[in-house]
Amino acid sequence: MTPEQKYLFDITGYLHIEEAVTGNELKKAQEAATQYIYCHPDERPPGLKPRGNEIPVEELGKRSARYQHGFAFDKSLEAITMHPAIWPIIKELTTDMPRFVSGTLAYEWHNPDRQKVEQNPGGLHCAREGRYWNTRYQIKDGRIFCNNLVFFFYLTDVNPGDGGLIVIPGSHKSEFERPDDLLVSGPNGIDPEPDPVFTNLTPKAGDFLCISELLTHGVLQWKPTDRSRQMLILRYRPQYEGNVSLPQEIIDRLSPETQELVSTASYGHIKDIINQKPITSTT
Amino acid sequence: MTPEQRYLFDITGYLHIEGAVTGKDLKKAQEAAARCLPGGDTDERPPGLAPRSEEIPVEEFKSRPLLRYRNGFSFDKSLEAIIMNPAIWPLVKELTADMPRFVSGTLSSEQHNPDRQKVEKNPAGLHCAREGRYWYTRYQVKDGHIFCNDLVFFFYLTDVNPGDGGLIVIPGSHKSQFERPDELLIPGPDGIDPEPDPVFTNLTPKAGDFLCMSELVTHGVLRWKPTDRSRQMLILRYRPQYEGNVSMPQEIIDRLSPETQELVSTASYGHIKDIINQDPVKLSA
Repeated sequence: MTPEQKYLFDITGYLHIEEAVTGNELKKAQEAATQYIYCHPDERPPGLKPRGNEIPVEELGKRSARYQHGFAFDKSLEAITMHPAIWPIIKELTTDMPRFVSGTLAYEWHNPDRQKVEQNPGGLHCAREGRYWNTRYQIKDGRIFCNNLVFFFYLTDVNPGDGGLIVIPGSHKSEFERPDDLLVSGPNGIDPEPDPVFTNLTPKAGDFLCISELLTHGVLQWKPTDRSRQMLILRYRPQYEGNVSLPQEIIDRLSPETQELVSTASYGHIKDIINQKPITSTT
Repeated sequence: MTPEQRYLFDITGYLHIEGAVTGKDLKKAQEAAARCLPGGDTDERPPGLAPRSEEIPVEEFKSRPLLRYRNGFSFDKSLEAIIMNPAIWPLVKELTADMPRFVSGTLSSEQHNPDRQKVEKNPAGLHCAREGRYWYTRYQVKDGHIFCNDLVFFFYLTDVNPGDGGLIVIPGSHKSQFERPDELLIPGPDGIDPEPDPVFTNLTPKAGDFLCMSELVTHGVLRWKPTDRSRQMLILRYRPQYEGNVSMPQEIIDRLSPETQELVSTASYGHIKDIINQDPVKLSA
C-alpha cells in the first residue's frame, strides 16, 4: 500500500482504486459476466447458479440477482481476485495471511417495485451490528490490519445520480451505535434525504472499491432503466479464521494459485502466492 | 450531547450546529462585532482588546484582508454569552468531562484578498494539532463519553454559502494513525485552493451556527471569494481546567461576568466548577 492509500483507508475506511483493469482485460471480464448472467441453467458449470430461486429462462438478464461464485465462471474473472492493483492491499491488510472467502457476481437492474421503508433508508449496516466481536480494525507498527475485507470490482459504470453504494466515511472506527434515525427517507420513500454524513461512491467499469466490513454502508436505489449495475463482490479474511466455504466443485475449477488463496492455513504460515508479484495463473 | 451528536462527532471529528443563535441575540452579537471590527469606532475598544500580533493604525483598518481580534469575545456581553450558549454548553461539558476551561475567544474577520500568494504545495494550509503537539492532544472514548483536550468552536456571525470558500476539514482525520501525505491535495488552477477532492469537506455555516471540532481534525481554509461580504466569526478555544495556565490578561478577565471568570480559571482535576451545574448559564453581571 502506498502512504496515501494507508492514510485514506485509515481515516475513511474505504479506498477507490480507479482504472485498475482496462482494455482487453476488462472487456474479457465484462463478456464473461454477461455470459454467466445469460447462461441457460442447463449449461452452467456445476455449482454455479443464482442465489435463491432459479431464474426462469425468459427472465435471464431482466431480473436483479446475485450469481454465486461468479469469480469462478471464467479465468478472466478469477484473475481479478489477485489483481496487481489490489494484491498489495490484500496482503498488507491481512498481514500477509489472506484467505479468499467468496466472489459473487452481482447484477442489479432498476426495480420499479422496490418497497418503501419506514426507517433506515439505504439499508445502512456494518459488521459491528451482529458480529461485533468477530470483526477487527487495528493499526500496529505502521500497518493496518482488517479481518473482514470486501473488494467490489465494477464491471459497469456508476455515474453520479445513478444510485448504488453509499458509505459513512470514518464509521469503521465508530465507538457509538449508529442512531436509528440517522438518515431520513426522501420523497421516494426508498432513498435517504441527502446528508453530508454519507458519500455515494461512483466507480467506473474497471475500478475497485475496497472497504472494511466495519464501515457502515448501504445502497441507493438503482435509477437508470437502460443500464444495469454489475460487479464482483470479493471477500477476504485472514487464513487462520473460519473455514473454507466454497464447494469442492468450485475449488476444483480454480487455478492452483487461487486454490492456495482459498485455503485455510495456520497463523504464521506464509503461502507461496504471497511471494509472487504479480500472480499469474498457471492453468 | 445527543446520541446523534456523539455518533457524528466520533466518526467525523466535527459537528455543525445549525440555527443555534437567532433573532435578537444574533443581531446583538453581529452589531457588537461590527463595532469592534473595521469601520467601527476603534476608540470604543477597551484595554487588552487588540488585533493579534500588532496594533493596526485606523487608516489601515479597511484594507486588511484578515483581522483577528484577540479577546474579541469580551468586547460586549452579547459576544461573551456565546461561549456558554445553551447549544454548545452540554458539548463543552461532556467533551471535557465536566472540567472545562475557556482558553481564548478571538474575533476574526476575513475579506477577499486579491493578493493572496500562490502555493507550491499543501494548498488551503492543511494542519492539525497532531503536527507539532502530538503528545499534547487527546481524543478518547470511555464509558460512552468522548473526551477531547483541545476543542475549538467557531461561531459564525456571517453566512458562508457553497462556493464562498472558508473552512475545510478532513472528516475522520482526528483518529488518523498515519501522517498526512505531503501531496494529499494538489493546487488547482488559481494556485491557492486545492483541486476538488472527496477527502475534504468545505463547511458552509450560516450566521448563528456553530462549528465544533477537535484540534486533531485536519483542517484548512479555502480562499474567501466574495468581494462584497466578509467572513466573521468568533474562534472559541476550550481545554480541560487542569491543563495549562490562564493566558488572558487580567484587564480582560476583570471585564468578564463571574460565570465567565470561573470558566476561564484553572482548577484541579476533579473539582467541579459551579457553572457546571447551571444549564443554561446566565451571566449575572
